[in-house]
This record gives sequence, C-alpha cells and structure tokens, in this order.
Amino acid sequence: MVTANARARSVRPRSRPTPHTAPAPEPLETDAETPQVVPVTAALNAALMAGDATPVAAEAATAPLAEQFIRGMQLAVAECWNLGALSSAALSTIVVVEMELTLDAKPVANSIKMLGYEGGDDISAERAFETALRAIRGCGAQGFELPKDQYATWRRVELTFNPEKMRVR
Amino acid sequence: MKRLIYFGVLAFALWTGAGMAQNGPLRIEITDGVIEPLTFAVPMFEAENIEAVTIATEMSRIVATDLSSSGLFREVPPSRFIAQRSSFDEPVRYPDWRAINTQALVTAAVKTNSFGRLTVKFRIFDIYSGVQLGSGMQLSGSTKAVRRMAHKVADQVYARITGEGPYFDSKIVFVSESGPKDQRLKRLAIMDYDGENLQFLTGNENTVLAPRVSQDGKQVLYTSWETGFPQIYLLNVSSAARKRLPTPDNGMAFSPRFSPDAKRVVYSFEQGGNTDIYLLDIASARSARMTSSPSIDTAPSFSPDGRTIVFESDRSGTQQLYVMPVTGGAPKRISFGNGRYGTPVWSPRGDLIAFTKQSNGRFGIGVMRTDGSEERLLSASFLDEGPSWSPNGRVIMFTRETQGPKGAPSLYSVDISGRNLRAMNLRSPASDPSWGPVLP
Repeated sequence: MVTANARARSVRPRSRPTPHTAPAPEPLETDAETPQVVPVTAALNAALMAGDATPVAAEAATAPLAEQFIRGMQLAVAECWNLGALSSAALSTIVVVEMELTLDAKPVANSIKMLGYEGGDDISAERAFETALRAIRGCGAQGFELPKDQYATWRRVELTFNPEKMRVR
Repeated sequence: MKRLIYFGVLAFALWTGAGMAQNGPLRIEITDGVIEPLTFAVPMFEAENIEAVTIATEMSRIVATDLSSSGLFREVPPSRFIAQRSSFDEPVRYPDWRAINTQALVTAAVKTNSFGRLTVKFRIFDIYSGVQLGSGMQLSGSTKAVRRMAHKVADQVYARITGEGPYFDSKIVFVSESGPKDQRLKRLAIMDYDGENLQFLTGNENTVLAPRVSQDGKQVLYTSWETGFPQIYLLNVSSAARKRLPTPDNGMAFSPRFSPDAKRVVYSFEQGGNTDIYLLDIASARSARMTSSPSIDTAPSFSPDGRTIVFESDRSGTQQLYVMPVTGGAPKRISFGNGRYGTPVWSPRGDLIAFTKQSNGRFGIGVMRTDGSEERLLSASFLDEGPSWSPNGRVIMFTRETQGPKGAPSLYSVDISGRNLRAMNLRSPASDPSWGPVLP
C-alpha cells in the first residue's frame, strides 16, 4: 500500500577507522569577531606578545593543561551529550571524535571528525557520532573555558564518548 | 583489528598522559551525559494542492504524536515557532530553531491526485549540527491510508535519528473484554499500534485467550473454549476464517506460539494433571512431545532463529524459566531470582527475554539476557502480566489489571529502559496483547 521511493538512510561511515568528517556545510553560529584557527606558532606568538614574553610564559604554553580545565570541558560537553534518543546498540558504542578549536575555544565546524569506534556496527557508530556532534556544537558554541596562553595544548582535542555508565542494559 | 589497536594506543596514551608535557591532541573522555527526550518540531506539512490541506494537517499531527509517544522525543509546540515556513524547499533557518531549543526538525509536503493517490515527501534536519539527515524521502499510497502514511513517515524519522528499527506502522491483536467482572465476554480484536482502527476478529459467544500473531502478521493463534475445553485455533486475519488445529483430543491444548516461519506451533497440552510442551508441524498435522516432566511446563516461546524455546516450569518447586533446543535436550534453568517467573517471550532482536515476575505479592514485567543475566524489572503493580514485544524489540506491551470488584484489565506499554510507561487509551477493558510486525 505504501512504498518508499527514496533512500532509506543517509550516507554511512566509510570503512573504519577512517576519519569521518561531519557533514557540516554551515559554519557554527559565532559572532563576527570570532577568530579563525591560526597556526600553533602564530597563536603562541600572539599569546606571548600579549603578555610577558618570559620563559615562564613559554613553559606555560607547553605544560600539561591543568586538571580544572579538563574537568570543566568534560562537564560542559557532558551537559549537552543527550543519549535519550539513542538505540540500544548505539548506547553500546564508544566513539572517538577529533576536533580543532579556535583561539577563543570554539569548535571549528568542519574539523569535527570521528576517528574510530568500538562496540557497535557502522550505523550505531554513526548515530553515536551524531549525538557527540550535537553535544560539541550545542555546548561549544560559546567557547569552552580554556586558558589562551596554553592554546597549543588544546588546539586539537580528541574526545572519547563512552556511554557505558549511561547504558540501560 | 585496526579499531582495537587504535583503542589500545589510546588507552596507553590516557594512562601515561598525566603530568607529562603534551605533544598530541588534548585527550578527554566523556562518560557522563544526560538522558532526555530529543526535542523536535513538526511544522504543519505543506499542502501542494487544495484537496490536500486537511490531510497535511492530520498527517503532521500524527507524526508528532507518534514520535512523542515513543518517549524518546519531546515536541516543541508550534506556538513557540519563530521560523514560519512558506514552502517545502525553503532553506531552514537553523538559528531560529536553535533559539527555541529544537534539536530535530521534520518538514514535509503533501499532494493528492484525482485517482485517490497521496504523495508525501519529507526531510529531517539536525538543528544543532546544521545539516539535513539523509537525502529526504517520498512515500505514496491511497488517500484512504492517511494514518498509515503518517506512521510510515514517523517510522522513518524515528529510525533515522535513533538507530532503532521502526514500529509505528504496526498492529496489535488483543482480547477485548466487556460485561461484569465475573461474567466477562472476551473476543479477539485488532487495532493500530496507537489504538486506532479497532476491529473485532471473533464474536463474543466463546471465551478466547492469548492471541499470538505470526511474524508476517497474517495469522493469529488463540485458545478458545468453543468445544467446552481449551483448544487452539488458527485465524486468518484478512478473511477472519478460522480452523481448529489438530492437537490431541483427550486433553486441553493452550498457550500456542508460532515458529518464526509460521510452519510450526509450540503449545502446552494438559493430560491427567500433567502439562507438557508439544511441537506441531502444521502441514503434516503431527505433534511431537518436547518435555516430559511431572510438572507444569507451559508458555513456550521461540527464539527468533527458531532453534530454541524458552518456557516456564515448576519442576524445581517454583515457577521458573527454562530454555531448551527445539531439537530436544535437557532444559536449562535461566531464572534464579526471588519470586516466580512466567510468560517468557523472546525479543525479536534475540538479545532479551521478557517475562512476568511475581514477588512479594506484586506482579511486574521484566527483561533478562537469554542466559538469565542482567535481570531488570520494568514495571510493578497489583497485576502486570503477559508481555509482548514491539517489532523493533524496543517497547513491551502488557496487561495491567486493577484491584477490587470493579477492577479491569487494560493495556500498557513501557520502553525497555523502564521509562515511558503509558496506558493505551481504549474504550473498553483489554488484555493479552500480541504485537504484530511492521506492515509492508
């Protein structure tokens, strides 16, 4: 009685673990003054020029990021990581997502990619990745709380979304 | 293998990362999230011709209701919309939808023709990601099948966003009850998953019990007292023609279920106070005994691959669940919790078994792995019993009976997460649901 004439699904991820680029033609909603991604060295120079160009500042630029910032970013993303509409299979899938941040700690829209996944099939991974994508874009649009003088340490971020604790079974 | 290596390297990096200068990307693990319905908006479907206006309105409401009823989605009411869409091909104004916290948007256009055909095309958008999900779809059917078309649209949206299989365009066979509690009249009925399009399949002159739909949805097995004893009948859903199955005459036959290919029926047969499980080959009319224990073995259900059955038995002294190969062999007990277990039903996905559990004077519906592990109760009340799986294995429907002289049964559904417990809105008491497949 009813027939489907078009494709039942969207494009699936390529063979794993090939990085999967988010199909995001539209840039993130940002204000006009949002800086674009700058090379690491340029960013470091900018940070150093802005403050005291001392050895202490240079060390800060490469030192590991303080736990408080890592925790802050975890909390910020977790707040938007909504697993409520995911299939049981996708809830058993861990996805690893890579992204680049601008100097004001906003995700660069086309930089968000799935690096790999574990525990599910291609479709589950794609659904899990979409959920991660919403979390990053939803809660990252205003920028994460990260120290500008350490831009080199957080310019590229790899996020592992592990739903094990959220699983219903 | 590459994936495993990747995760091995990642684990090592996370383990060694603390306190060291960082060379690679900042690595963060997210393990906490939120479990909330995904917010969605369904602007009224565009009517491409004047005759389609009413249909467009009706379909958009059905789609929104279907998605909301799943418990996985929450509708953003049209009264909050900022963006007013004027045509199906108009670009989506993502900021307007983000501003009212809409995560998914469904747009559609409907048109009819003079031959009674209806066409609906629709698109799904992920608002936070700012992209269209998939390339859009188009369905066509009769203008008399508006509800089904809408369920199909909702099914596609649900499946695309969640990753689960569809289930809205499906039917449920159940026992419709009427009359006083001690003189209930019971007859078979069939309805859409949402309670619409109710039709009766039998009269109410004979009490009927426990209907079971075949996997293709074309046939129903049920137990009837037509001969004075419980016997099993096979009913053709489209013609309502029925026939008694050739079970032995010298006892009571009940609790039937189809094999996945509907060529065999597994059932209980009581003779001389002993109840065992039998397997009937419909074509040859031959029954073979599967269990032979001086106990009550009943309520058998096939696994989706047809190789194993699960059933209830009191052979251990209390009612427990057992699995055994269809080809024979020793039953293996899988339930070990406190209380009594009954009416097991294998999930269509094959991963879980739903059951009724009686414990501390209350009845509840639960699920467990097929080896009995990870048991979880999803409901509890004075009397919850008789689970039936949705075709995608995500939702369970069951009977809940209220207490007291005016107590009556009704149908409830619950998500396998234990959330979204809902009562079906039916006009009369109802029991024994059996959920059929997604319609073609």
